[in-house]
Amino acid sequence: MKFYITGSTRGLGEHISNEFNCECFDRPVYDINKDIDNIVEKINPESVVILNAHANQLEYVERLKDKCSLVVMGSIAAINFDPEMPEYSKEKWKLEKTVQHLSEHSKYPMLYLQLTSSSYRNYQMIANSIRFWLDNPATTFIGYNINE
Amino acid sequence: MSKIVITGHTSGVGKTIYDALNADSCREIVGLSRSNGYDIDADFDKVVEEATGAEIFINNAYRDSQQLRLVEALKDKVGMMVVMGSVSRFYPEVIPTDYVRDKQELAEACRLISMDPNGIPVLHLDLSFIEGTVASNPTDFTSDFNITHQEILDTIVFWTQHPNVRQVEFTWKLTPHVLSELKRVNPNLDPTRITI
Repeated sequence: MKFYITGSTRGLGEHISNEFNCECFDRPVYDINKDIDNIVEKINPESVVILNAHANQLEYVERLKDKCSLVVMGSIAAINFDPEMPEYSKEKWKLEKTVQHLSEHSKYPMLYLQLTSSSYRNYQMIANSIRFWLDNPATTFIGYNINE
Repeated sequence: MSKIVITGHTSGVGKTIYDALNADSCREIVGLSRSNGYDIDADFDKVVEEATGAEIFINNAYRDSQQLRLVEALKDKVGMMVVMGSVSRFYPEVIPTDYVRDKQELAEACRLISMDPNGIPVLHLDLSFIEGTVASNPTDFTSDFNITHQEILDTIVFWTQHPNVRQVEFTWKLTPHVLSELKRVNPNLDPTRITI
């Protein structure tokens, strides 16, 4: 099983990348906005792609859903609208609904993580969640507390 | 000694959880079912009294809105709570039943607790078709279940180690048998509304 990740230069993405020994789709080698075809071409059914970077997440989901296992980093902003980032909230809402629908019928296991500001900083819990899903691929969605 | 309390412990996934906890946990495990005088409807107050003070309350048995009543009654009387919900709540127009409405209200109550700064850790499980208990006629779905008792048990164990998790959903594969069952409960089902 080969792991890939987008958005791995810092924070959660960097930690997850190290935990799963990911090949990273990041600058300067890859531009996830421009190199979608090249990235999709590299992926095979044995791959797990972790879509951490927000840019073009929905397009990557659509392009990869029938090619490999997917982990999609979502946000509580999808259901708790953030008036300071309205576009971000709308995009995350659309992403969440799309992944929830697809994951119920997808050919390959798909996991959506609904991150909150506190869980986003708990790198190990997120890594453990992905490991749990790898052992329990019937899981499609994990949401985290927002009362901290 | 701290205790773990579970409703509906004599059959299905409730029995699996109850038996596994009894075998592996050092805590007192208390099962509440009709068979031992704890009907979550008729004996509601007794159930609340017995569950009060539990380290973990597993709100498993379904009976109309009684699961929701137990959430409200025990949300500040137990340490942690697991609530057995259903992925069917996402499809109220496909499955227009009281069951789906009850599960929607249950999920919303759990979400509100997770937003309350003083709320206890609550794990809401959106379960799909479970082995052995998915239909009144067992021949309908026996080869079509999506999740096993063990997977649900593993999820609860994972949550006890990561109580910041508040919601887990499971896959729902719409096999031909499942689709036919959906058409049975909703003769007006629009097949384009769902995907196989």
